[in-house]
Amino acid sequence: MLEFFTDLRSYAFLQYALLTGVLASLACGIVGSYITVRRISYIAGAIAHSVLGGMGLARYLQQELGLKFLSPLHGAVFAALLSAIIIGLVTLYGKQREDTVLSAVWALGMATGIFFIYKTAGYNEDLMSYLFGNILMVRGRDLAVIAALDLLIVAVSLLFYNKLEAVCFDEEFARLRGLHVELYYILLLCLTALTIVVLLQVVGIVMVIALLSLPAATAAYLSRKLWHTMVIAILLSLLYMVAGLVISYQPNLPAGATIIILAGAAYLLVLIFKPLRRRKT
Amino acid sequence: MEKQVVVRFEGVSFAYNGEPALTDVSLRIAEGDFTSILGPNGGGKTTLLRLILGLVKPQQGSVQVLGQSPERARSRIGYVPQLTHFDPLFPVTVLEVVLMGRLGRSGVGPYRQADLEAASAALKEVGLEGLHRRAFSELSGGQRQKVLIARALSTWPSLLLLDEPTANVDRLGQQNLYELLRQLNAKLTIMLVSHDIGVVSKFATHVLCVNRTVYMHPTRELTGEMVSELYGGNIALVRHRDRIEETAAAPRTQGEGGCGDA
Repeated sequence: MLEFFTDLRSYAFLQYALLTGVLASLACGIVGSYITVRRISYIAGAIAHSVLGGMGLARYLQQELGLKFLSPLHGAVFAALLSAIIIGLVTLYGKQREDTVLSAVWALGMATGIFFIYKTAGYNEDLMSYLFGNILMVRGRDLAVIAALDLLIVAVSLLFYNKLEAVCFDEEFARLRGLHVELYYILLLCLTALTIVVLLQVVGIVMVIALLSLPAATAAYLSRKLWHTMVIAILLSLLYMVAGLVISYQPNLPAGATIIILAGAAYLLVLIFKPLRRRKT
Repeated sequence: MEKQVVVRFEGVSFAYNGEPALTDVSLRIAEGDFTSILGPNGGGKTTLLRLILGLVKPQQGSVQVLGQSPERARSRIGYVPQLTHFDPLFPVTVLEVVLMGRLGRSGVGPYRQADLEAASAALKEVGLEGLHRRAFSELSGGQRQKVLIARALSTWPSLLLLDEPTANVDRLGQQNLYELLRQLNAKLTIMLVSHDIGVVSKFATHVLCVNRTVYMHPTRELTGEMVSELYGGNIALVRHRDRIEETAAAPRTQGEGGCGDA
């Protein structure tokens, strides 16, 4: 385990990985808390999977059509925001079956991604890192994009904290107080989309939903204010990410999976011990 | 001097997808009235509230609240929804819930000092001044209902609308709530949906009987026959410990008309 810390000084990729973990936990704790209290983690799941479409397309354009300035990360941002807005508009105004729409966005996004990745050289490796993430592969250039997204997410979430909280707690009352509830709902989905892009770097498409829900759900059990939930969720996800990195480094375990297992175990522990504690008091 | 009309319906009809909920409703609620809305579930009580709040628009007729359209008057209506509407796991304190009443007035960023003062004053008014930092979900039903009333008060309303404030509240809590509402009635016009007829006859000045049509009565004219006709049968005219709604509203065989025919 100590090897991680000695290597940390000499390898830039480890420093990038650690920094990614810190940035990701900020967005994860804040937006994950909104998602958890508003109970829309299934929407987050659909957005996350649809992102593969954008990543695959961007990779294809970059490798096969020579648009070198593009990277899968750009594709991910585009696809995530597009899915968030589509899902938001359809669930608000569409009068469709919501689960059908989510399944469609989920599966179509993945299908598009697999289609383009298949047509791009070296697809196996790409596909695996998109699906399961690889925090050790984050490059300096990606880190700048992640930091910018993070700043945007944190700033918007905090600036509109009161309104987002009210819309999550009691949408009807917020509407009666003159808030444009639909707009805040779409804003929340867009924040979710950008947070997913940040978290993808850590755990990949398939496991993103765990990081968005488990730390915040655990934190919500331990707090009575939404912003306390956020702070605890940030600290918890930071703990999971750093511990996951450290534990997985030397035995060469998958970092993303290790992080998720830690998060899941902590959630289960709180679920089991919370009722015991309550009985005592 | 003529009292100001707070709510005015003129020939209002509303249907959900062709299914009529309210037909040709005309009514006037005057300033200072304490009006109780009675009627079976599905009879149109909620629709009536939603029309007043401007959440739905009448297909025929017109609704005016405080001399304006419901949308424009909305900021002067304090609305208290049913308790079942809330997520018991939501991490939020009493003070934070009450502060939500200040939303329309605050800009981006944190609440201002004036908002905090208004929220504290509202909590004091409902008698919960010591409970600012308690979790909303830890409170009893009656206390939670008071928090929601405080939230409505912090909007500085002229009209208070409550949707079944005593459902899920124990008997002592109900007494307490009605006493509070009676005090608030000194400065506010109050309309509430309730099945609690025994209490209603003690506090309300008027009763609206809603079953697709609406009839208004001064409370002193309300008789047991009118009520049982409205609910379509043997309703118990006693105060139930809780779950009033189920006992009172189960029979729905009655057609239109209700207690207006009496």
